[in-house]
Parts: sequence; C-alpha cells; structure tokens
Amino acid sequence: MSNSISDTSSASCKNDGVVAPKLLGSDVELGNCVLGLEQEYGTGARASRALLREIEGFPLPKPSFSSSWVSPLYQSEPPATNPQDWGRKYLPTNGGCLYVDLDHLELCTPEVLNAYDFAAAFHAMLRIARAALRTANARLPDGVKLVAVVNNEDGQGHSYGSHLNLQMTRAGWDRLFHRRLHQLLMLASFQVSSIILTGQGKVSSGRSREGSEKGCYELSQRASYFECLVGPQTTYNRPLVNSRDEALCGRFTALGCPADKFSRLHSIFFDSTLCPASIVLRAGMMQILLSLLERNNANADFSLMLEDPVEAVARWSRDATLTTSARLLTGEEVSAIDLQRLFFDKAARFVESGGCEGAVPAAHEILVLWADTLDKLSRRDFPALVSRLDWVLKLQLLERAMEQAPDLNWTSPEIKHLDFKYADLDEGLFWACDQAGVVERVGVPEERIQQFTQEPPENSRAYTRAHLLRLAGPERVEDVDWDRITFKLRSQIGAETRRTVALANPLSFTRRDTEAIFRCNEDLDEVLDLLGAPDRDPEPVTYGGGYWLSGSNPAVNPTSHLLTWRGQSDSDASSR
Amino acid sequence: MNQLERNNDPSNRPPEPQAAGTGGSNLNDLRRQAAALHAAADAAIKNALSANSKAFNSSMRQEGGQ
Repeated sequence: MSNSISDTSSASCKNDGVVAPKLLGSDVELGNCVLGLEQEYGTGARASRALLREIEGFPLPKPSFSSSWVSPLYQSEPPATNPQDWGRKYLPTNGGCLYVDLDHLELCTPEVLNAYDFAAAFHAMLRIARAALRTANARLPDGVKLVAVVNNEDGQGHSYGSHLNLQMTRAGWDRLFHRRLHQLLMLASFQVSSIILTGQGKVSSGRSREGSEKGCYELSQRASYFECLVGPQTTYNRPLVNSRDEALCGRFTALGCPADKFSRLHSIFFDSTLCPASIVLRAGMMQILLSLLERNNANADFSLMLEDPVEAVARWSRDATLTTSARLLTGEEVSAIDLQRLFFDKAARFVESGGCEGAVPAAHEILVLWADTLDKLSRRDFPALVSRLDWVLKLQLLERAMEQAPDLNWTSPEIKHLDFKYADLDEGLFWACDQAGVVERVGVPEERIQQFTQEPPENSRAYTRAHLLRLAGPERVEDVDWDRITFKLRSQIGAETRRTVALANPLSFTRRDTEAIFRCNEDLDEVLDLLGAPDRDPEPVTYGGGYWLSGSNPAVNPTSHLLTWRGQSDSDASSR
Repeated sequence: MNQLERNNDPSNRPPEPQAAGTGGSNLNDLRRQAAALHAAADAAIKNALSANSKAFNSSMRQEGGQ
C-alpha cells in the first residue's frame, strides 16, 4: 500500500490533463423531527441526536454525551461543539460515518470507485439509519415518534443537502476554479440541465411575491435554493458549484501535503434521489463530465454554456412537461433535454476515445443508461420512467392521490404530506413501490446493498479503516477522520501512548493491500507497525492559528519526522 | 496493482450487465407495472390522507442545513 498518490493517476495520462480516478463519496442530510413534541425552533436537534445515539461507531461519545435513555428527547444539550460536526461516528461495519450537522442526521457513504457501488452504499447507509430509527422509536412512549425523511427541504424555506464528492487532481481543480472559467460555466450548465434525471421532485408552495399561493410540482428539491454560480458557502446564498477545498487526503506537513496532488469536488447541487438508476446517473455522469474537464478536453464551447444557469434551473424545475427553454451563450434557446443531449454527445465521444480509462469504471454502462433515459424523456415516455426517475415516480403517486380525492390540488397540505411520505425512511412510498417491484435495480442488486451494510468497499481505504476499527474495538479508538486514525494504547510498562496511522491515499489501503496484514495479525500494535504508523505520536502543540505536531513546525525543524508520522516511506516522500 | 488494473478489477464493475430499457416500454409490462404501483401506493396514500397533514407538515420544520 502507499500513501503516495503518484501511482494512482499515472495510468490516466492522456492529452494535456491527468485524470484522477473518480472516487465517490457523499454526505447526506436527512430531514428529521419528533412528532408529538413541540419546540419553538423545531425538533430536529432532538431527533437527530436520538437517531445518532442508536448507531454503533467509533470513537465512543465523550463523557458529556449522556448514555441515559430515560428521556433522551428532553435532556439538556451537551456542551457546545461544532454545530456542523457533532458526535461523528465511523462505522466498523462499512467504514462510512454518521454525525449531526446543523440538527440533521448526516450519513456519509464509504469511498467507492464505481457509480453502481455508490448507489448500493447510499442505500446501505439509509438502511443503517432506518434500523436506528426503529430502535429509537421502540424506546419512546406512545404519542411520540421520530420521523426521518430522505429529502432536501422542509417546505418552510429550509434546505439541506445531499452532497456528492468526487476526487480530482489538484491541477484540475485549479483550472476549474481559478484559471478556466468556461469549465465552471460548463459544469454549472451540466448540473442544471441534469435535474430532468436527478431530481427527486417536490410540491412547491409557489408563493408569489404578492403573497398569493400558486402551488406547483417541481422536478428538483434544491433548485429554488440556488442564488449564485460559485462559492465556498453551503448554508446561505447557495452556489450551483461549491468551491469548498477539502481534499481529505492528508494534513498539511512541513514538506508538503498529499492534497498538493489530489483535490475533491464537493458538489452541493443534487437531490437525494432514491431510484437506483437516478443515483447511478447522478454519480456516473458527474464522474464522466469531471474527467472530461480534468483531461482539459473541453474547449470553450458556447453551445454547452447557459447564459444564466441560476435562472435556468429555477425555470426548468417548474416545468414537468420539459418544454421550457433557456438561453445558451450562443443565443440559442434550448430545453433541458436538448442541453443534456449535447453533453451526452460530448461525453460519449470522450468515453469512446478512451478518455475515462483508469478513471471511471463502468463508463460505457453509464452511457447506455444515460442515453436510454434521455431517449425516453424525449418521447415523453413517462410510464417507462416511473421505475427509473424519482421525480416521475413521485409525480405519478401524487396525481394518483389527486385522482382519488379530486378536491386536492398542489396547495393542499395533504399533497405536501404525501411529498414528505415519499421519502419517509420508515414507511415511505418509495420503499412500498420498491417492494412491489416497481423500481428498476439497474445493476444495484439487493445483495450488494446488504453487503455494504456489513462490509466495506474493497477497493478504497474504507476497507482498512473498517478493519482497523474492528480490530481496535471501541476503547482503543481515540480519534478518526477520513485520512487517519489515532489509537490509545498501553505500553508494556502500562504507560498510555497514542499511535496514528495515516490513510492519506484514498485509493490505497485496499483489500488487496492489507487483507494479509489483518489475516495474519491479531495484535493492533503489530498491525500498526506493518501499516507504517510510528511507534508513538509526538505531543501536540499549538502553533499560530493552526494545529501542528511537535517538531513539524517548519520554522523549527524543516526536515521533521512528519513523513514518518504520515506513515510514508522515504521513497514515497522522494516521489513528491 | 496500478490504477488501470484496479479499474479492471471485477469488483469495480457493475454487479450485473446493463441493458437499456429494462423497465420495458411494451404495453403489457407497463400495465403490470402500473397495477403494482397502484397496489403499493394506495394504502400509503389512504393513510397519509387520513392523517393530520397540517400537523405533520408543521413538525417537519428544520433549522438551517447545508
């Protein structure tokens, strides 16, 4: 295994851009509340914490986190911590994690390479959350019930994300955000037009500026919450393209950082779709498009750039007939289907030329699904898409309800209620349809979903993360992040020490890399030795505004042992 | 193992081959699918419509989010 990233992208070097394998991750916020409990600002805080409490993960909660279950919904808040990252727990089962983010239970899938695995891992995380929901509800008194919904807005002006993360090269990131703005506009235009494939659908109050209500159905849960093209922010003035720069592949060190080579696109644009086909498309299309941009294969093609993507997404979202047009920079007016076809054609040529080799597994299969779905949309063959696209399935269900109760319309509370019930984690309409065989599984079989509830992906560092957590057990895990784990250990003389293993390279530490280590060793210390962790961590010190390790301050010791601490060999270091 | 090998690894492939249009556009398939959809949905729709929708919708209020 290696913490060096140089070996992971060398197979992908064509044209003038190097493409990083398009590793996938996600962080997905649920809508959560407590029925039967009144609180002025909503019950999300209580609900999310009660759900998280039922999840078994590491590190264990700090002592301030009460373990009492006497009245969990009424306990006082624990001491203030980061409201966007509260109580994070990594799972020894699949290597993913859960935590509370701004009072939403947030699910993070373990790192996977292909879009089909991504869909399976996404549903696996939902099942883990559902088990927690049912356990928590079983403990509650009559009249009080936790509800969790896999959607992205509460119908009262608040939105929460279903973020899709894709690995990029640092060079590709810099081009996208700092040097070639046409790439940014292409990416935004692609995302915006993709809502016809990736929207969950929602009932919108459609409140006019004059205050009158004129409800309607929208394709996208998120469309009306985007206000600008690009920016690092996620909770206000939301951008179509998020520029948050968190590589999650190693801390800065005196001699550089793995993130010098890797970056991660944190896309906040998409909805939490549930149909496997829509999830595969959401992830797979983005893998292909980002590879295309990263390969520097996208010239400034005005026919792929909307004049105003923010305005376009709001208009397209409100048109379930798919006829509304938006203006390109060429001056031409196109529908979302038209623009998706243009992107598809470019993507297909790119894939056929080998552009996705080494970067996007199953790229051809993704193209086939993409093409077939666009064909059906072009024919308005909605009956054939009920099984594949959430917004079509939800629309069908809501229209069915309005047929049965003709006095209902898009402003009726009952219809909004059904909108929520579609993605209700416990007894949602989507799962009723899935169990009835209505939903296409498109290469995401039940067995794969089940597997990811219990086992990590085998081709990413999630494999080693999960197995290390299992081996260590709860008492010895001090701290976990995506790219490292710190353990509390006892030396032979009883002294407490800490050892940190670096998992900087997301594509290393796979099953092939480390299975033999775990099979042949039951002693954590020995495993950490073999994984390259130093004997003990240096004592932490605070330096300036940031966190440094003792001896890592370049002003003090520019050739510190940090590379060893990072778990990297000298040869890895020299390769950088 | 280099990256190309990793991506050619069977574990990186979709678990089963993709076929376009597996949802089936022929009439019988669509009728069967519609019947299954209605059977699955009707009970849930009935439950939702008999509940206090205003109270449920109000309870769904969230504070912020990303």
